[in-house]
Amino acid sequence: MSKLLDLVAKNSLRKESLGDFDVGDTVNVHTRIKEGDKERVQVFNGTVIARFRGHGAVNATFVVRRVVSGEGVERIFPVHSPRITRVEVIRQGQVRRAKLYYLRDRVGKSTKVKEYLGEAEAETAAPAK
Amino acid sequence: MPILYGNKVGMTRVFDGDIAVPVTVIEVLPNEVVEVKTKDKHGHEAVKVAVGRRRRSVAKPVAGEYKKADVAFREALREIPAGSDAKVGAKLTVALLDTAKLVSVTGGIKGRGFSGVVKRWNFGGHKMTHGAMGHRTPGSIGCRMDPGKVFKGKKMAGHWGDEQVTVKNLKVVSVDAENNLVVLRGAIPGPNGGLVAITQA
Repeated sequence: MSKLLDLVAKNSLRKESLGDFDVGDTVNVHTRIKEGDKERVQVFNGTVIARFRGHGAVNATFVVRRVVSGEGVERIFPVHSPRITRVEVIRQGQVRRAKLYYLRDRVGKSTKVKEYLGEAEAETAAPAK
Repeated sequence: MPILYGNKVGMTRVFDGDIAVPVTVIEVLPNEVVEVKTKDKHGHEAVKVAVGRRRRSVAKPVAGEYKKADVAFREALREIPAGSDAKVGAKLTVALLDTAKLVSVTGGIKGRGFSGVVKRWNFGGHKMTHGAMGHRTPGSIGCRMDPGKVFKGKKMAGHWGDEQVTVKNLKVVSVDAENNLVVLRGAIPGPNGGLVAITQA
């Protein structure tokens, strides 16, 4: 059954991948927005706290969270929306769960996600302590 | 434009330009004409079509109708108003749909069994605590001596399902003649796989 659904959605999938990014990463999401009849690119910066419905399906979305003057803002982006032009990974995060909803309850410094420095470095850094 | 029958495949989304459109996909396997009814012989004009998914077997008396028309067994036989190509063996396909026009979809709703008033009619229910006893009961269903009866049509608990629902004026997003698919904007009644009728005025 779902084969037929995939068939219908096939043309709606994005031609070029947004690249590799995952939960915990700090990203810049570039979206085209319309203001009147002018179009410009807006950048939304924040931490990816969740990804939904796989990475390939047309329904796939991801959630980016940032704190703007003390107020938490979350935006849900459809992965395959033509409005999203680019996802820039600023910083890779090292996280232990798939959904970072615990960040919602945190303020200040504790909202930071540990940076991922590659496999080898992460291992050597731990015993050195 | 005659009525087309198909099976609901499910919902997904497509992007129309920049906009995400929620769509329902219906698989319309060619509806095959099994019998042509005429005014002289049957008292009314209509065609009987074999619709829905293919079946390995059907009830014996019905099988005779398929055999006579030399048509493979299908999910159901339906009678529709006679179209221009009312010939036994003719195939009614999605190509008949005009994508510029709106369509209506008729189907049976999902069965929910015996449902209480909270689920069936969106009653608010009562307190869970503070000594309350009837948490999901309907409460009062009328007055006393005057009118002395419960009004007909009073919303109460009961069987919810086995109902036919029509959703009107759905936009046709696309038609895929090769794969026998119709893509409509919005939702339609019934479970995935359910048989629905597509009508176009």
